Amino acid sequence: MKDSERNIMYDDSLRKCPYSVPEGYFDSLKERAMKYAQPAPVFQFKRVLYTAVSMAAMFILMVTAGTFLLEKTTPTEDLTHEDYIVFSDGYFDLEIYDEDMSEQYADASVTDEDIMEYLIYTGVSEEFIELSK
Amino acid sequence: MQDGHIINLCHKGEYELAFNGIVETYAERLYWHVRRFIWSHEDTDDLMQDIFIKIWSALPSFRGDSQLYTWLYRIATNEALNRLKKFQREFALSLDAVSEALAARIDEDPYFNGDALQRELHKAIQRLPEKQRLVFVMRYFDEMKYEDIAEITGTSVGALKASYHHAYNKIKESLENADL
Repeated sequence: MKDSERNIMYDDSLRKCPYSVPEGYFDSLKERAMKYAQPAPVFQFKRVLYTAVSMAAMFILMVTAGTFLLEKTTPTEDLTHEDYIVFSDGYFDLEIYDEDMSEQYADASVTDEDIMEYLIYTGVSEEFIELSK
Repeated sequence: MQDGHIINLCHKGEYELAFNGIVETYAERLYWHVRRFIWSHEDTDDLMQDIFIKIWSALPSFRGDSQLYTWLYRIATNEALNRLKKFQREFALSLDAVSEALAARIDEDPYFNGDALQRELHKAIQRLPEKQRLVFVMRYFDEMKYEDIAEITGTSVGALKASYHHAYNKIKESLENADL
């Protein structure tokens, strides 16, 4: 029968596999495949539940401990600025700010003449000084 | 090993014995099933390793709701299709170009021992759209029932019959037009 007259639906020879494999291939394939049969991790609900509960407990413990420590270190009474000044090594003495500042400068022994000389020294004209009086 | 015995081993948790039974019983059948999609012996052999690894990993989750052999064929078919899609992505080819490329490889395959008509038949099958190729291969070569193919592909029996009908007509036309 010519090839062109064959009906693929009914010709069993066409259903035959035209491919071949190397000799001994399937034995080798099976041997290699069976090596994959390593113990696989089986899903265990109890293990997952135990892990989840442990993590939740640890989280709660951390939050509780953190809250406890925070409360212990946080001052409970209302603080004023005077309390803070105690820790400032005396740089900010409130008494200084309560006084009249003019008395401070008055004690510095700076006269108007000294001021004039300084202004002239820095380049300010005498006319400008006169105008600003 | 009978399918029932393999399923019993799975239920007992004796996965290694069940897997060995699957390999002994189905290795050759799965190989030829995959070979009809992949065409190259080397590529098929490479894919078979992935398939067996997938079967081993999925074995604990096999509940026996479906037949063992349809379950195995489903894994093998999905892996073969994924490999073809990966081939398409790697070479940025269209599906038609992939089909043509694989059809051309039949001419170069040293393990192809068929006559001219068989060569054209397999090339024509390779040029079919994916769904038509699937149903044609399983129905024509493996002589599977439509119900089993439906279980493997997740497609209705009616759609499969229509796909097979289209596939057959395309192949017939391709063979009639081939210069034999």
